[in-house]
Amino acid sequence: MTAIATWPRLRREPATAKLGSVDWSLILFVLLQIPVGLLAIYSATRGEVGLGQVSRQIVFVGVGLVALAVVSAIDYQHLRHFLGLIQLATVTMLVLVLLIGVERSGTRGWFVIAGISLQPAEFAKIGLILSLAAVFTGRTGNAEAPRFTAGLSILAAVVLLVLLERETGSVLVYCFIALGIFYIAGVPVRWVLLLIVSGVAAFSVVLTSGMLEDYQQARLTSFIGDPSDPVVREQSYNQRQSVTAVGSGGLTGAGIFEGPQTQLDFVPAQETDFIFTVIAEETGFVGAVTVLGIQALIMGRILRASRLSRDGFGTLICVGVFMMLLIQTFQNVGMALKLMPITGIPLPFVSYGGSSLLTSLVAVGLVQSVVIHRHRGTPDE
Amino acid sequence: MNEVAGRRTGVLAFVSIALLIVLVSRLWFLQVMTAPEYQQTATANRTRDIYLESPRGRILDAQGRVLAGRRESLVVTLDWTQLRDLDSEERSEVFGSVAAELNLAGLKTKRGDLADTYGRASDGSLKPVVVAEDVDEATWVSFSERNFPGFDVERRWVRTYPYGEIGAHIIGYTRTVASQELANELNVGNPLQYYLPGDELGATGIERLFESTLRGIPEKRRVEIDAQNRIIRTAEILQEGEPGQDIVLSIDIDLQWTAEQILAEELADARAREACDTCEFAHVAEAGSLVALDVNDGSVVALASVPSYDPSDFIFGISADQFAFLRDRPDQPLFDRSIRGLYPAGSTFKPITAYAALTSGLRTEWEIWEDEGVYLIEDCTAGCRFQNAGAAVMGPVDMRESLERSSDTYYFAIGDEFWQNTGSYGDTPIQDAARAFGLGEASGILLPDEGVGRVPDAENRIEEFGTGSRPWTTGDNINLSIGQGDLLVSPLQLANLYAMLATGGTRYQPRIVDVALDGETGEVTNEFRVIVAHDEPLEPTALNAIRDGLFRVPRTGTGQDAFAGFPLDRFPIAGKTGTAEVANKADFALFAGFGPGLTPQYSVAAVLEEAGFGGDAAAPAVRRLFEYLLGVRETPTAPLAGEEPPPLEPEPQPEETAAGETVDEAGLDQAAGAGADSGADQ
Repeated sequence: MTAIATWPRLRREPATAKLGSVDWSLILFVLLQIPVGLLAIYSATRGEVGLGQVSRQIVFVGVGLVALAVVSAIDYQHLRHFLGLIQLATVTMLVLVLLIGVERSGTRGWFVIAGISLQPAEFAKIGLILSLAAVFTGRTGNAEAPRFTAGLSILAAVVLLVLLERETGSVLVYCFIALGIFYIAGVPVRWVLLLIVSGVAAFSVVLTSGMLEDYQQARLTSFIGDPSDPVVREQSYNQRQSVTAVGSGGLTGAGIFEGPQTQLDFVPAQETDFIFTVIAEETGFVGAVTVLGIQALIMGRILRASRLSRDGFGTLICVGVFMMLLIQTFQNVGMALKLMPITGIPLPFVSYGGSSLLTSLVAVGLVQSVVIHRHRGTPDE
Repeated sequence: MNEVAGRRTGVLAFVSIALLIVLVSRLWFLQVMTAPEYQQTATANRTRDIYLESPRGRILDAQGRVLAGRRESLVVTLDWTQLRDLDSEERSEVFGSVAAELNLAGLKTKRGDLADTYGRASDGSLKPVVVAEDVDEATWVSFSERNFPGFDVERRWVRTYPYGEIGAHIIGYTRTVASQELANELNVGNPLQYYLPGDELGATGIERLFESTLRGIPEKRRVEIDAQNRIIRTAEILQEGEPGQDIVLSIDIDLQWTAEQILAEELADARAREACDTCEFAHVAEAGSLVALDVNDGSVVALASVPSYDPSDFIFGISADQFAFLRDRPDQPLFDRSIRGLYPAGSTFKPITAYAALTSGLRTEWEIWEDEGVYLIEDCTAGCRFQNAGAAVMGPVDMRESLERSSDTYYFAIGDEFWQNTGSYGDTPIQDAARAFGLGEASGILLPDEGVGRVPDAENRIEEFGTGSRPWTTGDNINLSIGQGDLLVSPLQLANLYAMLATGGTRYQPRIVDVALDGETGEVTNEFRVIVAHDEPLEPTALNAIRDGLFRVPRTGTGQDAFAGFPLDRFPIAGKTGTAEVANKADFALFAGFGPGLTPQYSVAAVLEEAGFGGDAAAPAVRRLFEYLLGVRETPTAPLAGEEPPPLEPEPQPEETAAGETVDEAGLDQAAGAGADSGADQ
């Protein structure tokens, strides 16, 4: 009995445990948000290139959901073993894209393979989260300073590579991911504050050093910049059009596919950076708050997962993913509402863009893995 | 999870909730508190008000024939607002493709032309500029398929002038509103007819004077546009369009053409005639005017000015070169000589001097003057000798004979005596009479830029030529007495003067516009009534004497050669020749007259520049026009532009000979019309 009886039990027990502990709410919220994005993309692009962009995005949804499932199934602890490989792949991608990448809207961060554009800076977020989470929970050495230094080094390496691609938006996301992980990992608050201060200082230096392209500088400074500068004016035009669209949406919106500003192309990049504008114009305050609410619920589930985690590694992975979604959501929506300067950061699960969607779904898969595998093995702390 | 991490996760949750509240508050502010403001901005953002020009009213002749019409044309337009966002390389590429497309359609266009048009339009023109007109449907289709940015094919109303050069000076031409400044000026106090650069605007003639009548009310439309300024749909009609009103003229285009044709032929004859042996200057005879008025109400029957031009050349905007050519041509085809040309009246002025002399008591009608061919001023030191043409000695002449034979010395004496006895017969009796006959003031015809002319006297000489000018002397009075010196009249004024001799004292404002008609219903919207400019019966004795003299001129006087063969018994014509001297030019030939008989219907005046004697060059023109006016000859149908003109002088109308009236057939111009089939007309 034992042999025969235990074999299936051994096989079945973890399986039922896994399925039982899947965070279905998290899946549900993500599955709610994705169609919202598809609808908004369709509204923003219809009449231009037919269904091209929507169908492309649907393909990525499919691929992303499979990736989510696969990543969920893998015990995140095993990822430690592949960490070197993941880091190598990340760095290789980031270096390769500098060499053979395609330049698109000013950033040299795109691979185009068989008509599909991929953005390594997006995928690098996963590598960064895993690397930082690992650094602070590794078995070697418990001293805070060396870990902090190691974490900073990893961050600096990725930031540097991505800055060379001129992906300023992603750099911001990396910094926030790192900040979140440092903070939760127990790095003293004064160090975190010091990091923020030096980050702001470095940003100011970059801004004034002429390292950025004109348009990038204009994007960032148009927020406060000189309105007589034509580049600034164009950037602030975009934001003004966006605010006009959002404001004219009113309480209940102009109706799906009925938003005049959206349908008449007044808001630029509305399927990517300004996707929230489409939602706000066409579904109004009610729709906009609903979408923000779903986004908040997703993040709430992730924060819950970080608390449920059986170990620090899992906690920090969840915190990294949480920070990634938080900063992207706040920056993207804030930009559409003219609260934040313009940077090309997509709204997770919603904006058009395969790399971003894939990254977000893989990140959710990681969280799911932390949730599913929380009962196995022993915490490493 | 350890305690620190747990606490810090709480902080993180708190921070993220705070950020979420920030976003929701901002949304609340934008979408609920200030939404109406943004909705307004959004509306202004995506709509634009455009104006669609309504069809311009037509200009019709008295029979309702279209002198200035309109048609719809497919034109290719350039909208600079859609091109400005392209960089110059892309733009150049578009211009290249469009030029290629147009050349394919047989419309010669260079890339540079389009670039120039773009450059000119981008000063802020709101209306797409026409770059090619009258394209065919195939080009239309190909343009809509290829969808060149900034280029479109649309239907536009364009002017037509079916009769080409005929009556061009009366009708005028249109031009386009060239700049936003001009449009703004036109729109002051006239918001309904709203002009945009590129709109049609009357430039001369009736087109100009009746601009506000002919121009309709443009339709004002609010359209929805996209971010590229492309029109998506019409949102609202803000103002209904209304076509312009039609203007009906008093002229008959057939008679108008006949007058122009006669004038041109007589000028050609004058050119062919040798100038007299003693004459210094050759007969240039390139220009002139022939005017006919209905004496009973002042209606203009014909108003010919030669040379003319084709107003069709202006329809899509005339090129600067072409316009400069027309403007600078020595014979001035754009200049309307009939109302703006100012000439010395010469002997056609003599009835006025005669009237002044008879009514002031200086002369009586039967008083004999011994014409010795030369007149000398008494007690005079310089410029004292005045003589008849060729110093011809006419012997004893009375008032009637002085007109019949055109004695100058008879009038020299009157001019001299009026000046020598200033005060006894009024200060300026000749000038007073001239003004009573309408000289020196605009006739009031409803055409722009009418010439006023000049009746000179001692006072206005200083006004016009300055205080340093030579003082008025008796020599000036002598010159004035025969219509020379500083006197200037327009052909229209001359015709109106003789019309007043015909009516015996009633002078009308020459009337060229009859009615205005509603552009849609054709109902009369405005009637241009007969206006009496002066109504004071002329002194009957003087008038009779003058008329007697004038009736003699075509029969036995200076006009007898020109009127040889004219049925004067049936249609007695009164008239006077004039041969005006102009410095450094051959004499200007004039003739003015009225008829028929004592129940006259028409007055006619002719001025042929540098054409020699009035009796030789101008009198035949008047005689020939009278033949058509009085029905001696049948008026041919005016040819449309491009048509072969009909022969001018077909055979006399058969029913008149059939009626058995005395028509001196032998005297009619036998050379012309011998083979023409007069029955073919109508």
